[in-house]
Amino acid sequence: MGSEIVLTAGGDLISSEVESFKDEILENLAQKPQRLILDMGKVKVIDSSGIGMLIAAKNSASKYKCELVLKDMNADIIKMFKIMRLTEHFVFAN
Amino acid sequence: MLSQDDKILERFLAESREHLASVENDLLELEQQGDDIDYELVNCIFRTIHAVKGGAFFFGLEKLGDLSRHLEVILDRIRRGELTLTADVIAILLSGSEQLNLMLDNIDNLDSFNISDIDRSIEELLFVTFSEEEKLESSSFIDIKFPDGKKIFTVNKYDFLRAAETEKGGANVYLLSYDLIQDLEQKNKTPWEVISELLQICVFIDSKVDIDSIGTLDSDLPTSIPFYVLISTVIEQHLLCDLISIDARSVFHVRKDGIIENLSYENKSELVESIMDYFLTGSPSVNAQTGNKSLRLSEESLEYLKRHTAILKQLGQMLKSNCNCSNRDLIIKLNAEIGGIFSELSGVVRVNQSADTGQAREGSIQDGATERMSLIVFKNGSVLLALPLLLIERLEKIGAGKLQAAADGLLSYNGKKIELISSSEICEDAVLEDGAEYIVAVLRGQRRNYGIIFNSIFTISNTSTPIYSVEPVKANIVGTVVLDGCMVRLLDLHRLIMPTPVEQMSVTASAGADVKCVLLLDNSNLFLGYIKGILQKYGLIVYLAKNRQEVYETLEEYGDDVGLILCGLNFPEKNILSFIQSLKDKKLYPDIRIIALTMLVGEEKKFLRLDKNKLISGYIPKMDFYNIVNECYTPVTEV
Repeated sequence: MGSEIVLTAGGDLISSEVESFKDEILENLAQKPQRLILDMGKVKVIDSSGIGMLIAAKNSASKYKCELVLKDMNADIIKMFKIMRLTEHFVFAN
Repeated sequence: MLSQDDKILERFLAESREHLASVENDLLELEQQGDDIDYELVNCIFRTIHAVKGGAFFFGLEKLGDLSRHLEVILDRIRRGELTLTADVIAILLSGSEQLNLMLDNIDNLDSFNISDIDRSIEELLFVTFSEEEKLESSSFIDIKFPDGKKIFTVNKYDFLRAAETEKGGANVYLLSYDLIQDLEQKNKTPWEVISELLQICVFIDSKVDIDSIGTLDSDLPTSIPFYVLISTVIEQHLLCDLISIDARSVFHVRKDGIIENLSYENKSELVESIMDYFLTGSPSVNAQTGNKSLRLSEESLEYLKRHTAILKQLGQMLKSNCNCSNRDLIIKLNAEIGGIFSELSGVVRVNQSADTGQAREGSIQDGATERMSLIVFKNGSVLLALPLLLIERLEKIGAGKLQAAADGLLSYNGKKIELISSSEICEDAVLEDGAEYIVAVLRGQRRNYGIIFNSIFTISNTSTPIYSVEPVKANIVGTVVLDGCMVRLLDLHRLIMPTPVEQMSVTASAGADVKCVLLLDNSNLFLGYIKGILQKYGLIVYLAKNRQEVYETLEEYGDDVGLILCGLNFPEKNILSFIQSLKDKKLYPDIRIIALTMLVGEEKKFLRLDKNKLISGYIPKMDFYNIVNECYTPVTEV
């Protein structure tokens, strides 16, 4: 059981890609880390499914009492999250 | 996709710096003016700050936007005469302007800016100007909720009520209810695309994703993600639905007390039923000659229906499915305004030319504002037509006869049948045929208004050089209409091309014989259309621009050819002075003459300022153009 796990999103979080990343997150949450860091450095585009998956991941993490951190998120995506008032639900890190 | 904004961001930053450079001087000038305030100068500064604010929020630079917004409010109070322009106020504005400049140079590091001091000063300053009611509003909150008590937002009351007063905001506050999966993903749209659309036409009051409705990763990924947006806009509901491609059922009007009017499609059938009952059983008037039945709705009903377009949609569908009418036995009489709302109605609309709406229509044409007048909508082959009174009057004046839409989806003109081809069959290569008659009309598209032109009034002499130019910009061709076998292209709305005699055009004299290309800059589409048509008659090549970006792009490509810029004094949106100055400063196009177009009323000072700096070659009153058009609107060949 690690206290911190880092997962890297391999590319854009779009509907055709989110399923595999979701499984990866779920597997790692099962290890009950205190903090799960999603490295979003390679994510340039995020669609509705991607947003839904991240929110579901955040909900899952809360269930496991794990802090979900979005790392190196693209500034434009953060901008979109701000407008959608999603930033208040996530922790961001650089 | 998102990174494509970088260029626009850079441009925004450059323009903002440029604008703010003049603000400091303008503020100092205001200070020197003492009690004799130049309100036009205050307006200039206001527009500059407003532009910075708009861009800042668009690009997610919230701190920059927040400060701009506060400064904007101060300036707004000054120009309304609600706040005295003291040295303290000037000092705060100068300090704010300086902060904005610093922020523009450090947009990657906005979080490091501490603007709490200036924010506090501004709030204190504004609070003094607040009425007791506003003071109460500023410290209280309002729930935005459905009548059943379901709360969607809690927002600051002052912000909520004042959002409607901003430029893009308006009297209409709506709750938009999206489903990120159903409404966006399944239509191949990203959230950012939707947000970008909204940001251009409205003020965001608040938004939220209903994250509680989304489960965890243990279950399947969500098939529904509710996303609520609270907006304020001048745009009315039926147009909003088209502009942002949202179903009318997902748009809710929010009253000033925060109650969301739940007028969804389904639960208003009772009202529609009652209207139907009235129509079908309640003695509609019958035209003795044609047998047409007609229903005249009361003013009260019209007002109600204007606000609740979902009902109109339902009404239209029920009319079509229940009335079992033949081609000409069902006509709903509406005035032009309400007719415009029947965008989804697959039935018949005949314009009711009641005198009470004439004035308003004329006004809207004069100022070139959104001319949501007239439209033809065709869905599945059906037709809807409503022309503005002014246009109808002109058509009739020149003997154009009556326009009529029939229930079977055909538009008739003086007994001639007009078929409308669906958008999937758009033919961009369509040409006007020799000797064919065309009629002026407007098309309302799914996402925006398109329009004009069947030229039924005019006889086209030949296909290559029609008497009245109907040469569209290709990108603006949105459809093709067949009129008695002649194909007519539908052009962008407002590209009204009016015939005008050469002698009365003073603009070309100003331009000089050497001018071959003209760039028109104005914030009025209708006006641009007029002038373009006029200039094209001279064989001039005319480019149009409605914002700075279009100007820069056009000049980049055609700058060497452009000999004259005709520039509305209100163009570009904000600070015309700095814009023209920047063109001159850059010495990019030293030989281009600039002529200002002005309404003159209230713009004299601005013109004098421009003239004093010898920035422009002269000016032309816009009314001259209108008069020319009005006086000379005569057909070459009467029908």
